[in-house]
Parts: sequence; structure tokens; C-alpha cells
Amino acid sequence: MGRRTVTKFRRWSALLCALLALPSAAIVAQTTGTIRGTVTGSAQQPLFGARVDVVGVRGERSSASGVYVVTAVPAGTHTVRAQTIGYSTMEKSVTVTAGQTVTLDFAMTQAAVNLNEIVVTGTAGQQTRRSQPAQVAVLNTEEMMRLSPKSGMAGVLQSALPGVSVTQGGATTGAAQRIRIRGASSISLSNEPLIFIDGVRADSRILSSARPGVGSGSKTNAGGQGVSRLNDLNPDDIASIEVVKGPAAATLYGADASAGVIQIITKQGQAGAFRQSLVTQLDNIDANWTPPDNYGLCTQALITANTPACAGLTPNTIIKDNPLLRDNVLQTGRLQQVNWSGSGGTETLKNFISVGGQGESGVLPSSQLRRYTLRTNSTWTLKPNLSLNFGISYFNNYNKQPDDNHSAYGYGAGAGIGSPLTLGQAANGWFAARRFSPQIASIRNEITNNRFTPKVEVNHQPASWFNHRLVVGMDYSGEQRMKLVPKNDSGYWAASDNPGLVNQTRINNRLMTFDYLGHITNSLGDEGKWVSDLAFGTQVIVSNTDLLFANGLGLATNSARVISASAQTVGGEAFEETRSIGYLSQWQLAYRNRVFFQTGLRADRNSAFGDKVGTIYLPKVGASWVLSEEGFFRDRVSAMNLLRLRAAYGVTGRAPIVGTSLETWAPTPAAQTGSSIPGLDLLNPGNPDLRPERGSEYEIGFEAGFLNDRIGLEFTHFNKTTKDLILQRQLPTSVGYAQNPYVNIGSVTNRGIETTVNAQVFNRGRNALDLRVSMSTLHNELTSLGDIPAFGTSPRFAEGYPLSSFFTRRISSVDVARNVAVVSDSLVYKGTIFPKREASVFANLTLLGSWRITAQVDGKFGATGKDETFQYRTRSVVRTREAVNPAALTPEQRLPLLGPYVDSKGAVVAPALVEDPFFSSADFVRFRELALTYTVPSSVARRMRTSRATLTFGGRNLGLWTNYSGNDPETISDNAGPGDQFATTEFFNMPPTRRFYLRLSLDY
Amino acid sequence: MTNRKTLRRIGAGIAALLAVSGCGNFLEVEYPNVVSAADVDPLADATTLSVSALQDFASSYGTWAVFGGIFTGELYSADVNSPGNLMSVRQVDETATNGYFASMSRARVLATKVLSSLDGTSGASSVNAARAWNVTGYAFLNFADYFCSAAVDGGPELTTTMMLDSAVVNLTKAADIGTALGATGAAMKDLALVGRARAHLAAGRKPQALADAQAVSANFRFDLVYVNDLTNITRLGNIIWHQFFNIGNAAVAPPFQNLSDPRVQTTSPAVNRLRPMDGVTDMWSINKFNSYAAPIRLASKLEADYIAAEVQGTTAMLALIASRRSANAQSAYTGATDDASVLVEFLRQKTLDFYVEGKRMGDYRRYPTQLPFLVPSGTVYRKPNVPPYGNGRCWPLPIQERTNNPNFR
Repeated sequence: MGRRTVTKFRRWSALLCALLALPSAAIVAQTTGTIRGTVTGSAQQPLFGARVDVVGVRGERSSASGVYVVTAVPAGTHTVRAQTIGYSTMEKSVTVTAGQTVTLDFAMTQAAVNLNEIVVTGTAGQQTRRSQPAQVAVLNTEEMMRLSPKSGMAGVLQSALPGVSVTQGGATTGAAQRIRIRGASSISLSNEPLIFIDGVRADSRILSSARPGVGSGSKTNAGGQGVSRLNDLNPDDIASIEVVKGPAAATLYGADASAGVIQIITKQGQAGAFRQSLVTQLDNIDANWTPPDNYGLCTQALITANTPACAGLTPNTIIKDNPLLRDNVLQTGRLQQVNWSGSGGTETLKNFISVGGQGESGVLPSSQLRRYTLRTNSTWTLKPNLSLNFGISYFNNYNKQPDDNHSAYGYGAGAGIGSPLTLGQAANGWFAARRFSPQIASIRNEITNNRFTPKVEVNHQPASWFNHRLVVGMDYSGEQRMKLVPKNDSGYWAASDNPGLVNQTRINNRLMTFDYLGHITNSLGDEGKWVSDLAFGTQVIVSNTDLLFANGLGLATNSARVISASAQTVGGEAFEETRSIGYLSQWQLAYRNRVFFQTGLRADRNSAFGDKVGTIYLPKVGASWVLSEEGFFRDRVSAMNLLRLRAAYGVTGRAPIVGTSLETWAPTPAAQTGSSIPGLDLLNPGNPDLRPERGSEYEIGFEAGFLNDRIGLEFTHFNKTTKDLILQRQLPTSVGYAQNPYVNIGSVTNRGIETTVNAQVFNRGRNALDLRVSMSTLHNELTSLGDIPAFGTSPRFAEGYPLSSFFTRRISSVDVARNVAVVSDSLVYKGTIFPKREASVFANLTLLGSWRITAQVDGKFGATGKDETFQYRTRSVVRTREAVNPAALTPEQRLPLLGPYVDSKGAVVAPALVEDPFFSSADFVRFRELALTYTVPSSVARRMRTSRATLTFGGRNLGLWTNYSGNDPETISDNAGPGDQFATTEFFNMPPTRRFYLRLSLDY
Repeated sequence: MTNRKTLRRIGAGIAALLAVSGCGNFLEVEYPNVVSAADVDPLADATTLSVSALQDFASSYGTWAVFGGIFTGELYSADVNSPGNLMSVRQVDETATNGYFASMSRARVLATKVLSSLDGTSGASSVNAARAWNVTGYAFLNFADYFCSAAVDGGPELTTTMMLDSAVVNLTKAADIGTALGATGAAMKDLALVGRARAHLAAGRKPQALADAQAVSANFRFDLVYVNDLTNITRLGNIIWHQFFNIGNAAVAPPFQNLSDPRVQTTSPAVNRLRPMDGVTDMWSINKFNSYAAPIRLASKLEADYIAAEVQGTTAMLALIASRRSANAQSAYTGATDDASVLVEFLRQKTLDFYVEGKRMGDYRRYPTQLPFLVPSGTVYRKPNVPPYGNGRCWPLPIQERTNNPNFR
């Protein structure tokens, strides 16, 4: 940045600062002073975002350089408390003189476990962690973005918390991730967690990138890939993330929270001088993939027929080709990102503003993402006991994707099932004639989203023992989705598409939240020995979506691609709405701030419930005991400086799909000569008794600190049972309904343990090494299907096995003499798509105070993968070397792979039932990330006219160790909506990309 | 503010919140995407419902015609996966037939609902009732032709004979109502007569088949109609064309390619530029089904003539053969005139006349060895990893019916 530019920047900054600080100018009183200081942490590094409270007065957060300023502090002696995630809370006393500034620095020590940090999720109002019977995981996103920055929400949550499993949706730019918290517990309903942003329910739908609600492979969508609205968020705007993992903690979130809740807490403004941050990042994206070769056999017949690819070759010569590599289709992707944020104001009015932009081009042609974000948060303190918080964010996203790789119009299938025998002919090694890379790239799947999320929060404390707050917010998104398959005269596509087609969809999605919560707190007994906290409130969520679409077929030119320019046009509309209302109460009794008992109840009603279902009740109960603060413990256990025991039980639910309780007919037209007339068809017999799925969970655990908090251990055991599972009872086909009715039947169990060890290996002067090791296990089992028989094959849902298991006829032996492979007489369990164990190691090494190296390695174990790409290329289209030249295989290799197959009685078994050869262990260990951050010395930073400057160079997805036979064990074949939530087999998908990035952060 | 005042205010606030948020109709929402069953009036909506039932039948029938054609050698499957190719080699299993069974069942059930609603009303003798009886009758007839066994309404397994008997009962109702309605019901009557003649013929009741066939009005023809409606292409469009044009899943089999017979006019892939799903099958297409709006003939006087001739024997067959060859600019039949040879030629002419019109499965059930254009059992299939041609005669009842129907457990 040139000096002239810097000067301009500073002028603008000064102007903004003046504007933001304007209201404060007249309010400064001469009876107050200012407390100012620096908060530092491990290796004397400044701590960003630490909360410094002047007890009984107000608090502020530290800037990127660790500086905090609390103004207008009444003269006198005050206790000042500093706290931040990962560090022990510190308190100091300070005397403030009127009109003076006093300096008070905090050199905080890392705490492997901090029981005094505040959590806002999973409980009624703000509570300290020590009082929470159920675990609420907290992620310090601000710190994460400093150490190992992420460019999307998937990266933020990836392997960050035990029990939170994130699978990236593939290599396509903008592809949605899949998030599972403590496993999947529903077959028919979404297993994605609920998302709240600052207390307002947020849109986190995963939908097709072209048109939602249309099945995979349809010409009106982009195949099986989807986009997630969660990815609209800018990680740089997030202060922290709290994750409620299960019903034990999610009870107060009502009858839709059984898959867990993620609360995103955005950055807020701070009083004092105007502070700014400027972040810019560049990513280099590598496909990290070598596409498989296609093989073909030049037979005598082909040579005789003068097949160009076989010209001059001897009969039975094997030839190969690789269209993606030959045509240099895979390219280097780029990401450019810039984010500016400012914070400032007075004690009365604090403001935060952030503006961000991001542009990405993917590794495939026609793969692009542009994102602009704007967020403002303001807190207006009207009176000492009354404050208003306004938050507005605006997102503008544009995402363009090619057809999914397993679409016949996509790159993966287009190249992967092409035949080298067609080289020199119309198909030239690709799947279809004249459908090469430029043609595939000409298909446009575009989604533009404008999202607006206003929020108002009122906090009021009318009496010392009573406070309440009201949150009213909305998340509105207006999406424009477009698919264009351009017309052509050369027959690129299926004949029906060659005239060109365009599909336009407009979707308005609104999520409205009204949330009231009151607290009555009473101290009882001597010196507040007992504290009672009664919370009560109501939460109303309204969600509605309207969709309007139009299709045009037959374009005069590709430039005139509006629907009205098409030869044939049709349109359609859809609308759905859900309303829910919940009344909640929670009572907590604390004894000496170390023993806590908590109980709560939520009553819920929802428009999606059946007509005969009224209110459902969701109870919770739990206790927490900070044992280490008891005298008898301190006296006896010296090595363990902290121990908290906790236990919780709670119930939540998952509401049925909108409208499924009703007996319905589908308005479907009938044909008359030359036109359509209105018609009706049987749709769903309905179920007026349809209730939500009910998840009940108990969890027990502890947090322990050793060696003066240098080592912390968190342990949780959970056992979640989901009953009243909503399933479609399969009716006999002869009954004639298009859909089967949903019924409450069956149950699923998820149980396991979650452990995290935080260790400060050393912290000497300006050098420190911190380690975090997390591990979780998951036992997922479909314990009952009621009277519904097991269904599906891959995946299959069967009692006694994990949800979505793989079953196949297993190869039991190879009978070379009979030239057959002998397989089991029935389907046999082969494995599950869900890892049974996950582990991650995160290391943070600080050297000389200025250099930080962070590394993350994680692994997932116990899952099984299925390589359908290889299966399809081997069995259906014969493109693999093994299929083209089976004679080169030994009988022991050939017979299991290609058959023929017989069962133990010698009966022939169809190859389609024998998928055994295509399964393999999906265990893996991945070197997820390595980042090197250099903090410019403060003297240099000052010369740069910044308060702090850091430069980070890092890489993601740097190594993979696995025995999985396909491309990557973390591949998701389809992820375009709830119907795809169990699809994980690899089918012409590309593996996750590899990225290297450079990030510059400047704070002013 | 005293504590008591504060408490009172809190109480009032909570009461107000509960009152507002608990408003009686707050949870009532609209579902404009679907029609609530409570909003359908079976009497007032009888025409809509009976026409809808016929449309269900028409949508299903096109698919049956395609896959029946693949099963009996009229068409090639260009499918990549198992179902289509196993259908080609007549080795289809119970996991692959639910789609066909479900769509025809839906038509039958909807028609049955219409009839039960009209029962006891004046509508029971209306053209709507005749239309609905024809749908149920033809559904039974097609079940009998295509499926080895069937079930209706979750009931017990029905044999072919039982299905044919049910077809006769239902079509008799349609014929009676059609006859009573006079000119208004003439088409419904003739449609029922042709169907009933087929049912009797398949059941071996030749005199009844002959009587019904001869009672069909001259020049009668009943087409299932389709329209080119992009939004509802698989419901309202001609599925035969859809399979060729949109999916690339079926193609004219070699014996029918490039014939000089006007009844089976085809177009080569070099001209139609259709793309096979499997990338290897030559996509010859049928000219008579060249758009989504192309009708499919369900029943006709011509079919009645074939039924009558088959009942009457070799002489009548020879006469019809001569007539059909002459009408289609073919030279006179010069082959052997023994019963067996004439039957083969008779069936050949019938195949050409009703090419991919969904009639050949019934002929195959009656003449599994004599039917021309069949690939012999044991012949190696043209694509790898598919077993040789088998000798399946019909489609098995889908596993979904066997699993979920309590009568099969």
C-alpha cells in the first residue's frame, strides 16, 4: 500500500472515527476517569477480544493489539476483571482519579479449563460455564482467524470440537458441507443442526445450486451438489461460536433442536477510539487429483472397421486416454478476499461495522464465487438499566457451478466414462459426441442471493433482582437461481436439450424470531449462600418460503436467454410455511457458586404437527458441582487444581415435514387433445397423529485441571435416544398413493464419549507451545423400525445396525475350478458411512514472540467407503483396465471383481447384488492444516502506521494417509438437500482441493 | 419501584405475551401446493377425477409399452444399468418392476374411488362412470398381460385368470353404461368391447372373444392423448418419445429398422441425432411417436379384427394377412399356408400394425414360441456384464408389494 493511499485511508478512517464517536463528545463527565491497559497471553502475545469488565460499571473488549480502554469510570476504587476463552479469569483492583487515565495491564495465564467464561446458548440468558450441567462447546473464532484463518464456515468448524463432524461437499467452488453433531438420529428429517446468529434463527438450508426441491440429476438443477446458506457468513465477522451438542442442552430450543444448535455470536462495537482492521487473503487452489485413465481394447473387428484410435495397432491392443488431463481441464483456482472492520463509539453508543468481499474461481471451468458482506452492530445504552442492540447484516452472493461431476453433462462423468476407442471420432474420448470441456463449461448453474438480517435486542433491568430481554429478528433471503443449457446446432446434449433451455427460479425465504426471556434472581441465606435464578419466556419462530419458477425451451439465440424469448414457456409456484411457539421456563439453584441444580421445561406447538397432536412438553434437569472449590478436596488433592462434575438430562424434538400430516391430493393436470385440463391425483393418505421425533439424552462428564491449569481435561459421555422416529410406512403398491404416509415409529441410539486435552507444554518468555488433542467416539444404531421391514441396500436401514449401512452379498470364496465366486446367500452388513471414532491434534507453537506455527492433523476411523466410480466404470461402461482386459487378472483377482457369482447352493446371483469388491475402509488421517504467522515487531508496525501487522502463510489438506481405494474417503456424492443426507458413496466426484494461502492482517 | 409493583408488571407482561403469542389461529397455515382431501367433492368433481384416472392410465401405459417392447424385442434398451438390460434379456426381477406396477395401480385406485363415490347416484350411469370402469378394466387387463401375478388394494395375490376375470367384470360395466348412453357412450362401449374381447381371448374363451370383437363399431379407434407440456412432461407427454428423445433409454431394435412398411417408419441416428444413454446403442427412432403430443392407440376396430381372425382360425387369418399387406403396400403373402406358418405371419402383421403400442406382451403370453422378432433364449447379449437372453414370460410382482402387503407375509 503506497504512502498516498495510506494517507487517504487514514483520513477516511478519521472521518469515520469522528462520526462514530460524535455522540460521546458532549457526554464526558469530569467526575470520571479512564482505565487503559494491554491484555497479553501466552508468550506475551496481545490477546484480541478479551473482555475487560470494571465490575459494576461496564466492560470493553481488547483490540487486536491487546489494548482496551474503559472510559467514564467513576472515580474511586474498582475491581477490574479480564476474561477470554482459554485463559483463567483475572481480577485486579485499581483506583481511578477523576480526569485521569490509569494503566492496568493483564498478563493472563492460559487455563486449560475456564469455568467462569460466559455462555449464552443452551441456557436461559447468560450463565457462567460452571453452572451448566450440559456441555456447551465454545469456539474462539477471533483467535482462530488470527492463528489459522479460514475462508468459509466449513473450515471454521472442521475438527474444531469433538462430536462435531464436518464433511466438505466436494471440490466444486461453493459446494455445501455436511455437519453432524453427535451423529445422525433421523432418517426422514434433516440432521443438520439449527443455526442461530446472535439469538435469531438463521437460514442454514442446503439446497440444489440451481433449483431447489428437484431431484438429483434433473435438468433443472446442477446434479447432486448443493450450496449452504451457512456459508454466506463471513468468519471474520464472528467473535465466537457456541455449539449445543444434544437434547440435554438443547431443550430450551424446542421441538426442532434434536440435531443440535450452533449459536454464532458476531463481533460487537467497543467504546473508545476508533479501531480498524484490514485483512486481505490470497488462496491458491489445487485440484489435488489425478483423474483415472480410460481403457479400451482394439479388437480385430475395430481394426478392420478402420477405427481411428486403433489404426496401425495389432488386435487386442489395449489403449488408454485421459480426457481431463489431455485437454488440460483442471486449472489452478484462486481466492481473493478483503475484509475491513471498524469499531468505536462511546459508553452510550458503541458501533461495529464490517465490510468484506471475496472472489473465488475453482479448479473446474465455470466454477466461480463472489461474496460481499456488510455487518453493523450497535449497542445503545439508553439508561444504566436499559440498552438496545441493533444488528443488521447484508450478504450478496453469486455462485456459479458446472453440472455436478456425476451428471452426464458434468466433467467427472463426461470424462470418466468416455472411451479411448472413440479418439479421432465425434466423441474423441469423451462420453458423448462433441460434448467436450468448452461445451460442458457453457452450461450455467448460477445462484445469486441477497440476504438481509435485521435484529433488535432490548435488555432491561427494572430491578436488581429482575432483568429481561426481547429479541426480534428476521433472516430474509431472496435467491435467483438460473440454469442455462445453451442451444447448439451440433448436438452436444440429449436431443431434447439441443434447442437450448433456460430455467429461472425466484425464492424468498423468511425466518422470523420473537424471543422474550425474563430472569428473577434472588440471593438467599447468609452472604448469598444460595442463589435462585428463575427464567421464563416465549419463543416464536415463523418460517415461510415462496418459490416461483419459469422454464423456457427452445432459444432463438443464446444471448437472448430470457424465458420469454423461448419457444415454449411454463411456470410454477410453491409456498410453504411453518409456525412454532414455545413457552420455556428454567430454574437454577446455586449453592456458594459451586453447586448448581438446574431444571427446565419447554412447551411447544407447531403447525407441522398432526391435527390430533396438541402441545408437547420437553423437560430438562441437571446438576453441576465444582468439586475442586470444596475445602475437603483442596486439602486432599493437590495435583488437580480444578475439577467439576456435571450431569444432565433433556428432551428435544424434530418437527415433521410441513404438510405431511394431512391427507392430500396432488393437483396434476390431465391431457386433452392439444391442451391440459385440471386434474387430481392421490398423493398422501396423511397422518393426523403425526408428532415430532423426540430425542432424549443424558450426558455426564467432568472438567479437570492439572499442574496449575497447564493441563486440562474435558470428558463427556452422552447417550441419546431418538424415539417416535418419523418414517414413511411403506404401503403395498397396490393401494395406489403416490407417497407413503409418515408415521412415528422406531428409535435410534447415539452414544459415545468426547474428550479434549489442552496442554501448555511450555511457556517460557516469548516462546510457548500449546497442544489440543480431541477425541470422540460414536455408536450409532437403529434400535427399532417398529413393524417396518428393513429397507434399501446401499444405504440400508436395518434394526441393530447404524443408520445408512452398507449391505451386500459378501464374497465368501473363489472357486477357480468352477470359475465362479461364491457369495453369501443373503445381504450381509458391510459397514457404515459414519466414523466410529474421530480424533484431532492441534498444535500452536510461538517462537520469539513473533512467529507462530499452527498445525492440525485429524483422523476418522471405523467408517466404510464405497467407490461407485470404479464400480460403474468397471461393470457398467467397461472403462477400467481390469474390465477391459480381465484376462490379465488372475482368477483370484478376476472372479471377485467381475464374477460370475453363485450362492452356497450354486444358484446364480446377479452382479448388481454383489458390490463387495467396491467397499473399503474409509479410515484416514489427514494433515488438515499448517500455518505460519509472523507478527511484525511493534516498532515496524508503528512505522507502517499500524498498531499491529501479521502475515500468515498456510496450507490446507496437505496430506492424506488412507487405505481407501477411491479418490478420497471424505467424498460426498450428493448433498443438495435433506433427501441426500445419507449419500456418501463416491460417484465421479472430485476429492477436496488443496489450498495454500497468504493472509495479511493490519490493525489501526 | 417496589418489588410488588415490579412483580405486577411482570405478570401483566407475561399475560400479554401469552395472549398474543397463543392466539387461537396462529398455528393455522396454508398449504397451497396440495389439495386437502377434505376439499375434494367426489360428485361435483367426478369429471375431473375420472379424466384424471384416465390420465394416470395413459401416463402408465406409455411406460408399459416401452418396456413391454424391450421385453419382447420390439426395442433395444440403451440403459447403462441393470434394469433396462435385464428387461431386454427377459430376466427382470422383482426389484425392478415397482414403478410399472405402482403407476397402473394408481390409475386403478383413483378410478375405483370415483366409482365408489358415484355408486348409488345418478352419476353411476354417466360417461364418467363408464370411463372409470374402462380404466379399472384395462388396468386388470394389462396386469394380466404383463405381470405374472398381481394384487389390488393390498389384497391377496391374483392369478392371471383372476385378473382376466376381473377385467371382464369391469369392462362389462363400462360396456353396459356406454350402450345405455347411446351415441354419447359409444366410444366407451367400443373401448370396453375391445378390451373384453382381449380378456376373453387371453382366458381361452374364444366364442365370447369373437362376439365382443365383432360387436365393435366399424372404424372405431380410441387413442390415449398426450400434450407437450414442459412442466408435466412425464405425466402428460408421450413417454415413448420421452424415452427416445429425452432420456435416450430405448431404440428401435434392428429387425424394425429401415423397413419399407409404412406401419413401422423409423429414423436413423445419423438423422435424428438422438443420444443413447449407454453411448453404444444405435438410436433408431419411431416416426409415429415423434413428439410429446403423439397419441398412442389403446384400442381399435383393427385390433378387434385381429382378435376375431385369431378366433376364427387359419382361413380368417390369411384373409386378414392379405388385407393388411395390401393396405400397406406389401406384396402378397407367399409363404406356407399350414396353421403354424400362417400364425407366425399373422403375428408378424399384428406386430407391425401395433408396433410399440403395448399389445405384444399379451400375444407373447399366448404364443411364447411362435411370436416373431423374439431373440432366442440363450443368445449372448450385445453388451458386457449382462446375462444371456432368458425365457421369462412375464414380470414378477414387485418386492414392495410382497413386502408390505400383509397377505404375502
